[in-house]
Amino acid sequence: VNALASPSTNSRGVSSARILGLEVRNEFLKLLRMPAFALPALFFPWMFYVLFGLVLPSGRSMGASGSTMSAYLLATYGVFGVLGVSLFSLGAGMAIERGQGWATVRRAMPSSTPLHLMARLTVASTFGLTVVVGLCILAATFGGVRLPTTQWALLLAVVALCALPFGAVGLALGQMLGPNSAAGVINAVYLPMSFLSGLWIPLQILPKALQAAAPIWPSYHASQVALSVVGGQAGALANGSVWSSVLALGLFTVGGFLVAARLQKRAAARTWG
Amino acid sequence: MTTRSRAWLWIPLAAAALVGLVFWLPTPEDSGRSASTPAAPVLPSGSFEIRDVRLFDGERVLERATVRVENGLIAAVNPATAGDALPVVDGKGRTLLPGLIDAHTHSWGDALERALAFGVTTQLDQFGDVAMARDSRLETAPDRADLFTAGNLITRPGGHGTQFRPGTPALEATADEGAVDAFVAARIAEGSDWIKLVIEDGHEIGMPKLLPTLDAATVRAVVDAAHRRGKLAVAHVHALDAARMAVDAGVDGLVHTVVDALPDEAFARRLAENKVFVVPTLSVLGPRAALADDPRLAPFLTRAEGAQLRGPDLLAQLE
Repeated sequence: VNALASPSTNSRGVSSARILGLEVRNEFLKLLRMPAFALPALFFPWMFYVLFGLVLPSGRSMGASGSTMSAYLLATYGVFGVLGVSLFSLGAGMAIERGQGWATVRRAMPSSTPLHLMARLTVASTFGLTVVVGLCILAATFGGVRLPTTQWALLLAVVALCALPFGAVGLALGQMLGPNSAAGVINAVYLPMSFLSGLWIPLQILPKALQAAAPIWPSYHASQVALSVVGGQAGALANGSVWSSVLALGLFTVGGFLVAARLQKRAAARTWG
Repeated sequence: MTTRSRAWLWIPLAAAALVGLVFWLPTPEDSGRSASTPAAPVLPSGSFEIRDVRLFDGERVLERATVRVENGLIAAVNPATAGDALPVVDGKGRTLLPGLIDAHTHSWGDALERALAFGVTTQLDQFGDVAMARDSRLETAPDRADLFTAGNLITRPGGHGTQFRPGTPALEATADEGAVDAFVAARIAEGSDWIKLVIEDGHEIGMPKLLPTLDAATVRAVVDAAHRRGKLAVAHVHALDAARMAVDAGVDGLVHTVVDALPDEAFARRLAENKVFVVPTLSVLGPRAALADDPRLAPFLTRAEGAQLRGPDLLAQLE
């Protein structure tokens, strides 16, 4: 905050890149200084993956299905990781900070809303990337997952990019919800949503009706893309077409930003006239 | 300015670490190379000569022969001129025969590399990974067997086969002939080299709760759908009545022998007349521990393979 408000940056015509850099840096600092958010965001996906992707399948009789599970859940827990950080940073986080008066303070800063959102998306994306990097190391070391180098790289890229649609949806939710209820409501949405889109256990185990309903969730489409990148037997468990899922993610991105912008405009008009 | 430059330094560092990680992460080739047991010795090039070997060419036995291989293909048997430039393998006291075909495997992990230790150069996988089979045939590698696969099974939801792999596609009991045809077409499109049906409710081994399985009309529809597309249809059966159902429907082969009753001669004659082959899989249905202890086989088995042979048999795994 000091850096942002310091007169030296204020008086000069400062480049957007510099502001973005500072926004990103401060977002990271905030997360590091509030480990209550950062630690569960990292460790929950890792812990779940160890339990369900590594320990559970190793007890099965056929090794092939075990490593298939490890590969499937590598893709889906990566998505789960970036989903959580995106929804919380851009959804609950923004709502809470609005309640604390930060949105008002920000109006006096030399930054802009798009730059601030880009910074938050960058941080969410980096966190998602950290989650999936950890998962890849676990999967390769203990799960026997073997992928061509390009597929490993693509998986990282897909998870990092998923911050965009998830962040957009989170942003819309954050604008809809109140500062006190946002975290609770987002938790109540995102945990069942993860389950219902096959991020925790393969979708095919769920009842047929829930399987059919899965495409309404953005996380379902992200998992379809991630699974098709992983390919092999795990990829065969993806049931939609990749490109329709990519399209759906694009629509969630645009839709989320549009809804959020509209709500924000309305709230601003109410507050500032 | 100092905070600024230090902060920016993190970006290339993190990027470099990420690139390093991506290249460190293991690829399918790595697991081939780091197999727990040494693979069969691979000659440095695909050109060599095996001399003074007892040769069985599939029809005749030649007591003493020389076989010249050039670029991975047999170029000559008992060539008139000596190939001095080629690496020589002394075949004295050994017998050379064509690569064996294992007609019922479930290939995963390092199965294709390990197959060579037992003289198997082609595996026919009867339920497995279509991607693995496709990959194995993209290039002819001298250090692993070729793989063809039935891919996913034609079985009911919750039927035999689905217990091994959650999310296995299965044929709904309500499927009409068109749906059966589409299901078979989807398996072939996925990469199944032939179609394998499961006719197995577990009654022959006294399972307390019978498994859902294919009925006679569906079996017929599946076999017809496979044949329309020029693919063989084979059946997993353990029960004599299931075997009869499969043969009545026109399957090309049975990929287990029956275990619940002694087939009568008339049934055997029907198999012969219809040219239905049988892959008996006695090595898994019979006393498997004896194989693990056989001195001719034991030296070639890894500890894990030995333990698997001494473990629960195939029928126990049905449950």
